[in-house]
Amino acid sequence: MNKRIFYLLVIGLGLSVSIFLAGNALAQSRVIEEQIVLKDPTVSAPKKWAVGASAEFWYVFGPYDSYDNGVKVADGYINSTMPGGNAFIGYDNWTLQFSYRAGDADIKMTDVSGTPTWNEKQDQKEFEVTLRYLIRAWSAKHFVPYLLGGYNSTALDKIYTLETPGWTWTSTGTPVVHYENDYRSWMLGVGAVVPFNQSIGIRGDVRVAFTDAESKNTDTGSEWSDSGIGGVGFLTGYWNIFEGLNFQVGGKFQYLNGGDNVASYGRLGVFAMLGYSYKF
Amino acid sequence: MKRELVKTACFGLSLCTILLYAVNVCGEQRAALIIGISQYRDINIRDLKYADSDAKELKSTLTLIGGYDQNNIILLTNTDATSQNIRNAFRRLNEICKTNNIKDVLIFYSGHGVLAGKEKTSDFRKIGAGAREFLAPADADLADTYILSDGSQANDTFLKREWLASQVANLAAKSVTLLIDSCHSGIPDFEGLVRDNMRGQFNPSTVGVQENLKGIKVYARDSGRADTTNQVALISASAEKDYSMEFETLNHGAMSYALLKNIREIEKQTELGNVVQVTVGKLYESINATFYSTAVEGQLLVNYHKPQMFVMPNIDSINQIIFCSIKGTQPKPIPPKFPERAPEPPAAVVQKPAPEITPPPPSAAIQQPPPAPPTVAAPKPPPAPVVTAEKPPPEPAAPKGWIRLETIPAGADITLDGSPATQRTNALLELTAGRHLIVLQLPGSSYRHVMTVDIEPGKQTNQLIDLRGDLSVHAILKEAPQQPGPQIDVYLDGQYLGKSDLDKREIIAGTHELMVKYKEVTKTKSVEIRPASPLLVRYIIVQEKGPQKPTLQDSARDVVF
Repeated sequence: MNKRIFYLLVIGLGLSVSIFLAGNALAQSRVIEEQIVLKDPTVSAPKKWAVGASAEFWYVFGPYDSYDNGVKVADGYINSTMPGGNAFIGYDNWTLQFSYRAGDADIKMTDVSGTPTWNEKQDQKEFEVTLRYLIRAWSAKHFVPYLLGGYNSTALDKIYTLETPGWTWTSTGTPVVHYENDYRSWMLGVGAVVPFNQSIGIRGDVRVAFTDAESKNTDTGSEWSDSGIGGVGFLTGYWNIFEGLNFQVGGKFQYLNGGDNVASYGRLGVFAMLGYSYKF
Repeated sequence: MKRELVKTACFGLSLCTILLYAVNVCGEQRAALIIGISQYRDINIRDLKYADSDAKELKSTLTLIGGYDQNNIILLTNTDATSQNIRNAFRRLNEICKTNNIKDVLIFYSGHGVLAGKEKTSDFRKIGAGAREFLAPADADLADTYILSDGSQANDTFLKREWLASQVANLAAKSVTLLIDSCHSGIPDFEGLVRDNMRGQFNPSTVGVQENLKGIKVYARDSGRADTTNQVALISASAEKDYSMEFETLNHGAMSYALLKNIREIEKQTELGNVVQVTVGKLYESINATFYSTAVEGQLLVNYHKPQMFVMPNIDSINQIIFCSIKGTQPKPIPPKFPERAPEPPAAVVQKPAPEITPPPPSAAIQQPPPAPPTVAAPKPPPAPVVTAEKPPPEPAAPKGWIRLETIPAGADITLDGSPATQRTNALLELTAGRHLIVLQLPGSSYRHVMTVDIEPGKQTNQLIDLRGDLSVHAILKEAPQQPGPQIDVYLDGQYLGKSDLDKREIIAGTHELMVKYKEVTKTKSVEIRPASPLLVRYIIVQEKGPQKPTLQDSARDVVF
């Protein structure tokens, strides 16, 4: 009897296993696999490093008036060119830039009374370090703000030559006087890139310059120093010709404020730059 | 005594005739290997709509009316038709040939075919010599392609022309007919390939005498075999560089359609009891005629592609190689026992009564003329006999049986022995006893369910066929295949099914468009759903560390300052 039960159990177990296996066999699927490839920014490391350089040119022409304590003292006309260049290195949203500019200016001045007239010849050399941070977190599709900070050192060699015969400068007693001005400014600014599409857009920024200035009459040795708050501004249209190659043209304004004791200058001119950045 | 002798001779002659007939009909053993692949494993190889059902229907047709014993037919369809299974099937076919003394062998293939050659348009580019990829088994894998030193592309997951030729050459049958319904199926040098492979059988053996050597050496030896094939015919759906097509309006691949149609037509034209030997010549001629007379979408089939025939050893073989023997099923016309037309009434004849001859009197000198006979009125012609077409004595009614065909869902069109039935499922059909070929197809579906049924006299058979299949769509991350994958949106034929992983049951079998969407990527694929063959499509999400599509914000980095 026990044997019979044992055999029945064995048969039952065998049947169960068979049915289970058969069920498994029936459930076998035809499997096909396909890949979905995503260029997923969450896992892709964007090319964070960038190095590059750009050439720039600033051309100022037009009326150029001179003020003394807010009172216009002379009318003038300026013709100035300021070529320069920079090199930069960037990581992610940060860019550190070193710039050097050197140019000259010819300024024809006439005293508001009509006499005398003089010519001011300026040689300007400028060195600048700037750090830019693109605030991606605050960016929108057509608006990417950025912060700027930096240091600017501008050296001016100025030669004033009186052109009205018989007139001389008080300090030298001659028609010619020579000054050297140094402006050292810490800058802080904000700007934005406004892309219309991948290639075209507008870039603009304003920088407040906290300037310490020194002026020296090299003919007499007299020196002055002071400080003031000036600023620099850009508004350009840009064209990303292809990835990394950027051309800008627009306007640049620079106001060097040396305080009351040192002369201040404001210039607005046409500005252009062509730069290339390589990302890796 | 003489009469006895004549009787015996007649009897013997009849017996011989019957025996010869029997040998002719039954004694000619044929074997076939039939392959139809609609479903491919490789996602990059498009599934086909009708290749599998064409193969099944051909098998049933050959069994029912083509003189083939179903035990001598090997059928491989879909995922069963792997490279290894096809190779094994050829071995089995050869065994069947040897065991059953098979004379004629048929090899049918319906599926994808590829072109391997020097042309730039070739699927597999060949620079130098080398075996050429030809037919795609169900497990063909395009990703398994590799490059030879001469720059040629090679893929061993495909069946090669040369391999097929060697199999054909070494079959133990007198003749082999190949029917290949695929793209690029014409092989101009097939005869040469077969001949090359007839020369010898390759025999691998271990190298040297030392048992510890890990090597084999392949010796080619001339087998001198007498049992190799000596007549081969290849009928291809298209020329070597042409494509072949399948059409929804035909519900078949074009060549399979022509093939099955012509077998049916020959059957219908053949009287019951007669047997027509269909030679490959006649078969090719009739397939061609169908291509020249059947239009699809306003174009004759021949304008899409043209069947080709290659035959060896010579052109006479086309009339010697027998493709199948079709047994007639059409009843013989029974000659009427009475003329069918009413006979003309017999012409009216004026019958004069014969004068009585009276012997002359013995002494009369002048004989009197006999008296004028009485005028006899011409009798009216008898009325034309009314011929009533007498019904032939009723033939003994063929025994019948019934089959109740039910499908899920109901409403499938029924094709009975090649002819459309008036009823749709679910239906009770009365059929003559015997074996029948039934094809079921739901309107709007490309799937054709092919089956043979045996009807027993006076009995009812019930068949319930589920014309639905299952589809599962899963998604996994390549980096973490064991974990649940991301949810992707799944659409079938434009309708949203839900998010993966999902299992969708009871989809009408046939061709469906599967679309998935995940983030910005959309993938669409045509899938063949089959009953009892659940399909799992597994999407592997690969997140590549590639440069992302630059956004407008990204372009700001290009703006120098």
